Amino acid sequence: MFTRTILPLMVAASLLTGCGSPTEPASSPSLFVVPAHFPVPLRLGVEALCTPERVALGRALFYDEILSRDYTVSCASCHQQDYAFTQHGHRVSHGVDDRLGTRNSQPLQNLAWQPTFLWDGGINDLDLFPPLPISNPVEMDLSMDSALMRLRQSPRYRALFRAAEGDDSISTSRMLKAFSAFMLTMVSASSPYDEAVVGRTQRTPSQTRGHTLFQQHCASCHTPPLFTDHTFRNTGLMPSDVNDLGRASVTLDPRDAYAFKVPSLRNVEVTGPYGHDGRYRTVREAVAHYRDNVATIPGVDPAVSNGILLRDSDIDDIVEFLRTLTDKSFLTKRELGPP
Amino acid sequence: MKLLFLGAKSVVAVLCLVTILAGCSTDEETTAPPAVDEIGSIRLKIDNVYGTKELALGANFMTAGSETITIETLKYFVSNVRLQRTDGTTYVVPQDASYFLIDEAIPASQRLRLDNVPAGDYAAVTFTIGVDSLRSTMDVTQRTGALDVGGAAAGMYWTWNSGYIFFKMEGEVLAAGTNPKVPFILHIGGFGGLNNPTVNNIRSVTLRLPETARVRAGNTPEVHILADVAKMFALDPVLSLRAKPVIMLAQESVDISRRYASMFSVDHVH
Repeated sequence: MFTRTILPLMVAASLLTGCGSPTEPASSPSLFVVPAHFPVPLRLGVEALCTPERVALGRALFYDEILSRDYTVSCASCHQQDYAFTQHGHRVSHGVDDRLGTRNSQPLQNLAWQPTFLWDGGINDLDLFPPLPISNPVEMDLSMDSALMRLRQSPRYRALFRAAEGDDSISTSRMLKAFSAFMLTMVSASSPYDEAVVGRTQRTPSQTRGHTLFQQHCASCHTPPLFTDHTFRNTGLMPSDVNDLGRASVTLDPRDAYAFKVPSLRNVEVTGPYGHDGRYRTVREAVAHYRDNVATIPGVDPAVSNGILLRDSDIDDIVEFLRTLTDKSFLTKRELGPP
Repeated sequence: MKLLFLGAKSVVAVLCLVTILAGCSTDEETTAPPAVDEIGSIRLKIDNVYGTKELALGANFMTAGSETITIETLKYFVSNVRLQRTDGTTYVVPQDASYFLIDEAIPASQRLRLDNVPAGDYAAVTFTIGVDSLRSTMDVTQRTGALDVGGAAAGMYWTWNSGYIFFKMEGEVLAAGTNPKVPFILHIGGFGGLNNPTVNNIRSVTLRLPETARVRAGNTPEVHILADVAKMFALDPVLSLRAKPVIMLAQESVDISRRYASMFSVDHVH
């Protein structure tokens, strides 16, 4: 009885799939859902992009060392889920041959709401992000055409591309769209902060004080619910020997010297070390920067140039509040881990 | 069998006729006004030269500033081609078919063929050296062919500051003193920026044709364009690679794009 009913269904299903044009695989539910208390995403068409098959392909690519010259490094080497997709404990990122970059890898989360990427905002389109780490000599050090060649020679990837796109043609844009599809599903919106916002949990007295202080001193740049206003600001970090010019290296405008992207503070508890060059080890040190260490260099943002007046206990409370931004389900969600 | 035998004779005859017709075409077919909806093709041959010499990669050349240089890489984008008719009207080549990457190391890349061109008499050609700002910010699915960042354009794209390298010239300059050879690197790009204005090196040149290019269904003219790299150095003030051997995304790049925009001319049309 069972086989009799299921067989015609399977035939019908394969017929239906067969009807679609080769580039339009059968439509499946999207793995991208906008959290109720979030604004409309900046990026358009994310639901349509994030089909389960394309996300599965992107996930395979993200976790695969095949995309590094010597097969030792994957995207996940510097973007580890447990640490909100940062490289835990590393000031700057390590690539092939243990080569060092000059910047601290940033978390990957809520990317559909992000207008620019990198500490200096040099990339405007998430789709065009992966060619940077793949071809960068201090990261994965593999040319894009070699990367595509390796994928084309892999029966596993041919099958994954066929499932995602309807045929096994492997092009730059298909590869990059799959990367984006997976990364766009990295949505963090279920932290205790979010629970409190929707009224499901109560804050502790220290977290409540911290929240008030945060609103007063921090929220104008680290604006909820994304905890960034996506601007570039000079926070008075004394330039190091690397003399990273930050935003000015993109705009060539001297007024942007030493300005870096305001990072989101979601999951900040696990994304240490802090600052574009990872100079602060703990959240507490990073918060204390605004009281103790704002350097007198040209171009420091007026919001912080005179330092922020905080007692030690205020800093404790702010740190307590920031811990409520740790989203355990995001850090452990199976679907975001290795395939 | 018989048919086949006869066939060979007729083939020869037909061939002779074709040759005669082809020989006639430049005189008769092209002087007659084109039919409505008639289309043809035009070829642009871009020849990189150094003064009166062919530009050979690895050869020594002397610049206007008396510096000896060797060029190892010369690549640039040509895009957004337009053809002006003798009556002043313009034919714009459809944008999707209008991006070319000229590479001195790949002779085939220096011959551009434009098909589906309305038949007509053309007096000038305009093109962009580089990639327009709109295409520079387009979705990755619109970046195919010469613009494929994982293919042809792989070495012509800044991954960390999204944008195409419009013009790339690398080589060595012979320096005075103890350090005989210094590598030079010119990577020129910059489409003006998306969120913040930044350098804009999108340059466009219009070249008048010394003879009218008559595009007809049966006539494909070839416009022979010279790109004389020596002119880049000679433009006032004379360029010194010894003084500044590396120029990439920086304000100085605007001077370099001004220079390479001056190096194009049309030698002849045939």
